[in-house]
Parts: sequence; structure tokens; C-alpha cells
Amino acid sequence: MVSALLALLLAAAPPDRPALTVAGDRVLVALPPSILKQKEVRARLDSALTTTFIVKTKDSNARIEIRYDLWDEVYRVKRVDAEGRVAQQQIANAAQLEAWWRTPVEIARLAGDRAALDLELVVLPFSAADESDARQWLSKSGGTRDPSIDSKSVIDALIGTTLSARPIVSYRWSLEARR
Amino acid sequence: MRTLLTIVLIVIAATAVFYAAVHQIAGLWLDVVLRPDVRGVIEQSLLDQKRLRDLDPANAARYRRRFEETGRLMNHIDVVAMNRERVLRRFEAILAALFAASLFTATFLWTARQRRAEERRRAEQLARLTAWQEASRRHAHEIKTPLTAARMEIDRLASLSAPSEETRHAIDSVYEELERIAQFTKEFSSFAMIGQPVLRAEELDRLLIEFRDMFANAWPNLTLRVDAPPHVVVSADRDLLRQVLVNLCTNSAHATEGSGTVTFTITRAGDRVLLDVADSGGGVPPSIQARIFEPYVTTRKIGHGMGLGLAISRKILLDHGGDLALLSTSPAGSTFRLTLLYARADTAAARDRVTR
Repeated sequence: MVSALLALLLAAAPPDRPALTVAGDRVLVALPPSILKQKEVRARLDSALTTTFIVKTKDSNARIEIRYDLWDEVYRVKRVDAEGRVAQQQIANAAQLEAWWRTPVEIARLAGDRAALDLELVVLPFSAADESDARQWLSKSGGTRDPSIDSKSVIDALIGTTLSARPIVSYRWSLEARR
Repeated sequence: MRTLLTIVLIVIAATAVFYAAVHQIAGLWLDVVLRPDVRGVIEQSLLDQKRLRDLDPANAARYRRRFEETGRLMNHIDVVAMNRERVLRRFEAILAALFAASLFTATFLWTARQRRAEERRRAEQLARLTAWQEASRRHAHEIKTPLTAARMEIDRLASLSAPSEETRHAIDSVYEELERIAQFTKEFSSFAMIGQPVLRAEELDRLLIEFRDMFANAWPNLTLRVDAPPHVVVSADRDLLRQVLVNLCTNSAHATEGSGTVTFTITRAGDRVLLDVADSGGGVPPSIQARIFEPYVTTRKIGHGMGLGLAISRKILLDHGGDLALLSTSPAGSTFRLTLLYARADTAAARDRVTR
């Protein structure tokens, strides 16, 4: 009873601040695991869709994708840092996921001795690939199967601009790191 | 402008009704897919595939393939469910826009077609009356020439040595018959000689008030009334328009037993001005209603009018770019509608601008 109440309180509390570290001329950010415990995020992580975390600064973006594979019952994760480097792996359970989540990701390059960043984290309920698949599926449902008839384009126009991943939650922090 | 405004208002009203109807039913097709029990069946199917894998490991690949297909379907449903309101709103808006565009186009085309049909009908009427007019002109000319010669011969005969009483009587009788033919030809000529209107910007309300005052005693059994807003300016030939009003009032006077009224009412209809002339006479007999504007159609006895008044009046209105129509008729009275073109009166140039 007490642990359930504690979990509820944790889920409702705002997440901790991310930690910035500097490695050489690279600025790395480690996102707090409390984000994964947020109620809105937790609910999405166990769906079969790819929950997408976009880490934005003024000049660059990094992306983290987490999808729960219902067949193998593992988390398939992907990390794309600010330089475009991609790292993928599969994770067996939530505890390991939390550990992996703590790994810093490169978010910017350091120009001087000090980095001051306005960081925004946007959590999307599904990825661009999920969105594209769903568009095609719905477009096939609404459009004609006769290729000689162009009514499909109307449906495409409809679906193309309406099916999109709106953030389920977003956070902003002003962070600072020194060499 | 008013027609366009009317079309727009109709389209807006119809689209609002359509939108409300679509709003009620549009969610159905999406909700069929998004029903919780549909998702429940899909989830169960996923679990079943996994159970089958455990029970039949040899075919695990096949179950996995099915599992992934079903999983993708569930993902699609989840994505659509998250966008349900937006998809529906857009769907309704697109349907409503297509509906409004179709309705507007259809209404616009229908109105344009009506206008073209009306113009064609007017042109045909004008051509027919012009043909009648030409025939009348020729007939009048053909009659006048021998009539003049016959008169001269009779004058010469009368001027010869004193005729006998019997001859005198015969000459007077011939004079009388020639006079009847002359009168007949005069009426004939009046139709043939309708002039083309010289159009000017005229204040119709003022013209009617002047007409009412000028002709107050012209038809002893009629009281003339004017119900008109001020400063309604039309493009008209004052003299010809007055001739039309005289013709209509003359007909009304004949159709009214005892005393009656003729009421002039003015209304604006877009670029047209409608002048309704309503009397309290006995109405137009059904047998001639369809042909009432054709020449020589009359209810009067032979020798009491040739039935040219309404034909002349309509010809005058058609020449104005307007029309004359029998709006309604009953034993309680008839209403004729004169359609005239509205003219702007805000500049002195208006009078000069309005031309044929």
C-alpha cells in the first residue's frame, strides 16, 4: 500500500534535472531516469509503438527511441546523437532500461571552457516510421483501390496533415557545464 | 450582387446543416476501427500467436509473421486513435468544403442558366413583337394609300353639281365608313410607330406621383395610389413609360365595374426595379392569360379596341431592357409587373451613361 502510494507520488512529481558533462570538446547529457517513471511516459513505453524522445538545443538535436517488442518481450532501443551516430540494442527489462537510459548522449560541441544550454526534451508517443505506416494504412482504408480513380489523393491529403505525433509531455531546462 | 449574396447565404446555411449531419455520422467509420472490443480481439490474437509458438515451436516463424502483421495493425489503430479528433475534424471540414463548393457551383450555374433562359425568352418575345410591328406598319401603309385616294375621289364626287338627296346620303355613308377605316388604321399605326426609348436616369417614385396627379381625373372610376420608397432611379424613357401606365390604367378602368383602385408599388431586386401595377378589376379571363401580350388579343367587343395596348406596352418594356408580365390575376383584380433596370443617381453623369 505504502509502496504503491510512493510510486504514485513519484509518477506525479516533476522529473529531476538532466546532468551535463564535458568530455573533451563534447557536451554530453544524461537524462534523469525519473522521466521514464512519469505517468504519461510509462504508459507509452509498454505499448508496441516506438516512444520517441527528442533532446533539443538551439543548434542540435539528439533522439532516443524505445520500443517494447511484444514477441520477444524486450525493449529495442536506439540512440542518435547530435553528430548523427546511431547506437541500437535490445534490453531485457525495465531495470536494465533505466541503467541504459543513464548513459550520456552527445548533445553539442563545446566552444570554450563553459557550455550553457537551453535544453528541451519532447516525448512523442510514436516514431516517424509508425506515423508513416499508419498513414499508408488509413489511406488504403479510405481511398479507392482502383488506381484509375484519383480520389485517393484527397484522402492522402487529409491523412497526411492530420496523423502526426503530438508531444505527450515536454520539459525545458537551462543547464551549464564547465570543462 | 444580391443574387450572389443569396447564393452565398443558401450555401452557408446548407453547409451548416450538412456539417451538423456529417458531424453526427462521420465518427462511425472511424469508431468501428477504434472500438475497444476490436482492440481486445487484436490483443487476444497476439497472445494466441505467442501461445501457439510455445505449443508448436516448429512453426514459430509462421506465428511470428502473423504476430507482427497483427501487431502492426494494432499500432495503426493506436496511432489513429491518438489522432481521432483531428482526423474527424479534418474529414468533416473537407466534406463540408466539397459540399459547399459543389452547391455553390451548382447554384451559380443554375442561376446563370435561368438568367440566360430569361434573356433568350425576352429576345424571342422582342423579335416576335418586332415582327408584328413591321407587319402592322406595312398593313397601315397599304391601307392608307388607297384610303387617301378614296377620300379624294369622294371629295371630288361631292364637289360636283348638286347631288340628289340619295347621292348625298350615299356620300355621307361612304365618308363615315372611310372614317372608321382611318380610325382603325390609326390604331394600327400606333403599334407600328412605337419609337425606340431614349433612356435616362429617372426617379420612378417621382414619375409615378406626377402620373397620379396628372391623370387623377382621367379614369373617373379609378383611384390611383403610389406606394414607393423615395429616390428609386431607373433607366427609362419617361414618355414611353407613361404610355405604358396609361395603357394599363385604361385596361383597369375597363375591367373595373363601379369604382376601383390602381396601386403602384416599387421594389428593388438587385440590378432591377420592379413596379407592380395592381388593380381591383375583374381579372384576366383564363382563356387569354397565356396570350395576353400578343397583338389583337382582347376581351372587348369588335370596334371597341384592337387589343394592341398590352403588346405595345410589352414592346416598350422589352426595348427598355426590362419586361412586362402578368404577375397574378383573379376575380378580385390583376397585378402586372414592370421590370426596369436600376440606374445609379449619384452622379450627374448617370443621365448620360444610361443609353441603349
